[in-house]
Amino acid sequence: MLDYAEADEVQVLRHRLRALVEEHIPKSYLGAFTDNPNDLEIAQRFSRILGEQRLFALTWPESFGGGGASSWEQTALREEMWAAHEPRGAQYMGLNWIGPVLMRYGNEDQQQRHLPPIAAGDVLWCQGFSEPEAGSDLPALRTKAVREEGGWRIHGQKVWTSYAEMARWCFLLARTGTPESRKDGITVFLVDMEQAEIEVRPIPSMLGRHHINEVYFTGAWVPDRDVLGGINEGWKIVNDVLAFERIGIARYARCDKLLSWAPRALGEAWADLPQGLHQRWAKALVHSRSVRLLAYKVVAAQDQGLLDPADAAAYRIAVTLLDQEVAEVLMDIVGGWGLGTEDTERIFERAVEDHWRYAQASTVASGTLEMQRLALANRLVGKR
Amino acid sequence: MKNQLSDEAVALGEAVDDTLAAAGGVDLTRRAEADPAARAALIGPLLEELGLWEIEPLADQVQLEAAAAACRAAGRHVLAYPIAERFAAPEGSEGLLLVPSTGRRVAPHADLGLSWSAVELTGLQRPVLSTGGSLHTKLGSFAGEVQVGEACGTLERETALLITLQMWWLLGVLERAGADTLTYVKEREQFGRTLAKFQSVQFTLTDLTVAAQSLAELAKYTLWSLAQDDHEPVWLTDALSLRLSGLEAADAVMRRAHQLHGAMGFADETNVSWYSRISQPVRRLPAGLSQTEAAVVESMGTDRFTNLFTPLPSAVRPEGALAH
Ligand SMILES: Cc1cc2nc3c(=O)[nH]c(=O)nc-3n(C[C@H](O)[C@H](O)[C@H](O)COP(=O)(O)OP(=O)(O)OC[C@H]3O[C@@H](n4cnc5c(N)ncnc54)[C@H](O)[C@@H]3O)c2cc1C
Repeated sequence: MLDYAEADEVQVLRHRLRALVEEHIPKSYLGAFTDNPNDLEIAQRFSRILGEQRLFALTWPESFGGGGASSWEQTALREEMWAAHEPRGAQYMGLNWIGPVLMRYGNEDQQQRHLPPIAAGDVLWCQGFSEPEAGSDLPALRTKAVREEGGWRIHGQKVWTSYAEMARWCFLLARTGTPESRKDGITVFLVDMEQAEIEVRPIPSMLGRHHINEVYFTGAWVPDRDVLGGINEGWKIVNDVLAFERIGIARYARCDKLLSWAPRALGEAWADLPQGLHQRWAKALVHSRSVRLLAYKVVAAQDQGLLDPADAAAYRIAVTLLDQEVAEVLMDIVGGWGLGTEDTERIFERAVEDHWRYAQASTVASGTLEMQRLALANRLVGKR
Repeated sequence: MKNQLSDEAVALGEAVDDTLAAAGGVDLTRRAEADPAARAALIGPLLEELGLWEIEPLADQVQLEAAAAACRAAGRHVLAYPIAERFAAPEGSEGLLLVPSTGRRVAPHADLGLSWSAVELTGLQRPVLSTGGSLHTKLGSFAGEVQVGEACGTLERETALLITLQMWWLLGVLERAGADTLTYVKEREQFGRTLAKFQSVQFTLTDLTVAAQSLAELAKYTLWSLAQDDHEPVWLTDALSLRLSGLEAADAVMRRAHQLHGAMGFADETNVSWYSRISQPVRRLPAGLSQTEAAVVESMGTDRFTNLFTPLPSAVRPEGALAH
């Protein structure tokens, strides 16, 4: 029987999270990676607060510092956090997929060393997958791991690595097979970023200064204990990672929040907007509801261990396009304020401008729209 | 029927293109962003030397076409300079600003200290009381606040001219974004071949191209219409219609240009990210898509749009000509 009412514990959690955000996050906060270093501070502090209250790694087993909650609570957490401009900063990566992947593929030593700090919210990870020649075609990656006594030396270059400047650890893919081995010669390394043989160069972009980076490895060291899974068995892990990552960000929640906020933010000016814009706004709200329900379809399937990557792809297609549709509607609603303002009292307008810039990348980051389409299409027409 | 710009216009467009390319092209805008106030001195003299400000776009069609070709060439380098605004300057001022009628009053290039006049989309004129500096934001480096006074008449033709020339500038941006994207997908390889070999990429390119080409044709038509004295009743409607198409085309082209560039398209070192950001003021101001649509509906009424089967306004219909 259908039942879309939220369970009491999920509602309670939402209220608790909103109260925490209200208490600890300034209203003008727009994410951890602005030009203001305070924002990163805020995110780190907030992550620790969540960690202390066992709200951070909500669905993780308690033995790893988690809260043992349901995946619906986890979903609510994702929604509340993304809607509040992700006050956990980059921490969500560790939580959403690095942790779960370590639980699945890590040995006991790795789990003991890496999971509790993630659950406590005090360590940042980055994802070292993409390379200049390996974007959509990830199996073309060339960063090389060379065997030495007791471990591996990493040589090569990663690019578009989010948060690499602040990350303490990197979940890195490197080639351990022959240059032509593609998917069969990739291994996952857990790399300590604090080494002289790693250089991070920020890439100035329309997303802001501190988001994406190039990372150069000139013989960085990874001891054997930080090889995840078997040698040359990285691709299977990658596929799991991407599946987790795809449902990771509840983009629809921020869309929903900003759209719902718009009439109040505009006040009397709302009534003066052209009818066509009211229509687009209403339509966008309906779209965010249906996209949210697509997300729930994926969560429910994952809960039952029936996650089909094609469903995740369908959701990702819908949610990334929603992000861009909503960005355009909101920009029209705020008019000239969409060009940005240094007036931090203009909270809604600044959030809209920020949303527009980030939404441009939503159909590219973590696998492009076209790759999602290919994944879904291949499933539909039975290729592979 | 002739759908080619005059030779003079084409030659001027090429001269502007060459001059700007020699001066650094998009890098001029990169430099200008570091110090927006300095761009008048950085870019102004280049255009001055080309004799652009001797052109009187409303004097005759040859000059109008020349101004449009210059704007399009400037757009190809996403030039951060009020070229359309200066061409549209009414008597006694150095430039014309198109300001929103409601909400925040900001306009492209209002941050530059010219002696400005201002109009709204309807042609309503307002005196400029003061202007502010650059917004200093990622999307608004080349825009500024404008304080205007009580309405003081109408400037329909200048307004139509400004809207039209801004769209010619935008057309240049979009054509260049399309060309860069084509180059990129022919060079970038994934899965062992160039992106251009993938059918889905080809379709994306075609949609981008159709959007830009449609805009180019409409832009030429609108220019011609603006040069016809007996089109006076439809000047503004035609210009607004061009703006509507320009906004739609910009969305269609820039979205696809970004998409085909992948992550590379967001990096400051890639020109496409500049086309995307720097075209924002003209695309959002003085009215976004829905507001522009509403303005077109309002201006079009039921008989102010001349297609094959729409009745011509009486002023446009020659004596004894076919009515329906
Ligand atoms: C904001 C942001 C953050 C990111 N963070 C990280 C990170 O933390 N770590 C990391 O490793 N990477 C990160 N990335 C990189 C991201 O994973 C890649 O951008 C993405 O995989 C696409 O690769 P690419 O940019 O090289 O584009 P390309 O693969 O070069 O693609 C360019 C265009 O061609 C299309 N295309 C490619 N192949 C085909 C095909 N076979 N059929 C049809 N179309 C095709 C693509 O869909 C796209 O439209 C980030 C990217 C962004 C934008």
